[in-house]
Amino acid sequence: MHELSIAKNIIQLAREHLTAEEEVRLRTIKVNVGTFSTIVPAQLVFGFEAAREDTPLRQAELDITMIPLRIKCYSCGEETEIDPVDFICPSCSSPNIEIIAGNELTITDLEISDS
Amino acid sequence: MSIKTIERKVLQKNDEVATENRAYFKEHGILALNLVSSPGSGKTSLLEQTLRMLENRLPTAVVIGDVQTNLDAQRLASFDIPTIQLVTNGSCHLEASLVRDTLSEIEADKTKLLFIENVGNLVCPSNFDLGEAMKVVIASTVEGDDKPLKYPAMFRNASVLIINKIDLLPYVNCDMDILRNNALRINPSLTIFETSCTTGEGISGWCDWLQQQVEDQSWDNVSA
Repeated sequence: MHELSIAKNIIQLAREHLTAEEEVRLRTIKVNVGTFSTIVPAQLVFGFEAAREDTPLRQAELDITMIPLRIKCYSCGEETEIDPVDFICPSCSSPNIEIIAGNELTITDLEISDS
Repeated sequence: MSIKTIERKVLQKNDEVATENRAYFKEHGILALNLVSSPGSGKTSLLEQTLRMLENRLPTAVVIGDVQTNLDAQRLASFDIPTIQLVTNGSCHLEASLVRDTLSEIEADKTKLLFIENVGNLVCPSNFDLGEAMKVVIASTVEGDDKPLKYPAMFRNASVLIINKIDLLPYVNCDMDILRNNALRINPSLTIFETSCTTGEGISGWCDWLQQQVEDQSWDNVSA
C-alpha cells in the first residue's frame, strides 16, 4: 500500500533533475529495488502509473531492477546471496552477518528522448 | 536518447528529516522508540501498562499514529504526559516529517523517553526511518508463531521484540519456543520480552530495561 507514496517520491525526485522540456520527453525512470525492501514491483508500477497522470511525466515508464538479498559473513568473510528467512552464513552457519545488498530503493538513471 | 545518471535514494528526503530528528533526540537526551506491530497486537495496552509503571520514574511523551480517529490518545489521556495523536488520513505508515512537526509540542528538556506508536502494519513502516534510536516490534501470541518468517524485514530491522498476550497461550495455537526461535533466526541480536497487559506479567522487566537504556544514554551524552 505504501508503494503509491514511494511512487510519488520517485516522480518528485526525478522532476528535481529535469528541466520542464525534459519532463515531457522523459521515457524511462530506472530504479533499483532490493528484494528485502518490502516493495512489491507490480504495485509500484501501478502506483506510478496513477501518480504520473497529474504531472508532465505522462510518457514515462518505470524500469525496475530487482536486487537480490546478499550478506557478508563476519566469521568467514564469505559474501553470499540468501533467502530472506535464512540469516545465517551458508558457508559456515555463523549468524554474525551483515546485509550488504537487498534493501535498495534508488533511482539510478533517467532516459530522455531527443524529440 | 540521452541518459541522466542520478543515483539517488528514493526516500532521501525522509531520511534527511529522520537524521535531523535523531540529532534532536540525541541533543536533548531523549530515547525515542518506534513501536511497530500488526493492528490489535496490544501496542496501546502495552503503553498504558508501561506509562503506569514509569509514572514518577521517567519523564515520558507519546506520539500516536493512526489512520483515523484519536481513540488511542483518548485512552492515554488519563496520564499526565504529552500525548500527541497523528492521523495519517489513509496512509499506512508514519513519516519522519510528521514526527518532526510534533516535536514543538514536547518539552524536550523535560522528556527522557519518547514512544512513537506507528500505524498498525508490519510492512510499510519498515521503509520509513523516523529518527528513532530503535524499533520495538510487538507480536502477540494470538497472531501465531510464524509472524517473524512472514514479515522478516520488520523483525530484522527491530532491536527489541515484545511477545504480548502471553496469558492467552493456553487458548491459542502458538508455541513460544518456535516463536522465539523464528524471531532469532531472522535477527539473532533481538532483545526479547514476554508480557501480558491483562495480568501485568513481564511489564516490570520491560520497564526496568527501558530505565536502564535511558540512564545509559544520559551517561553517554554527558561524556560526549
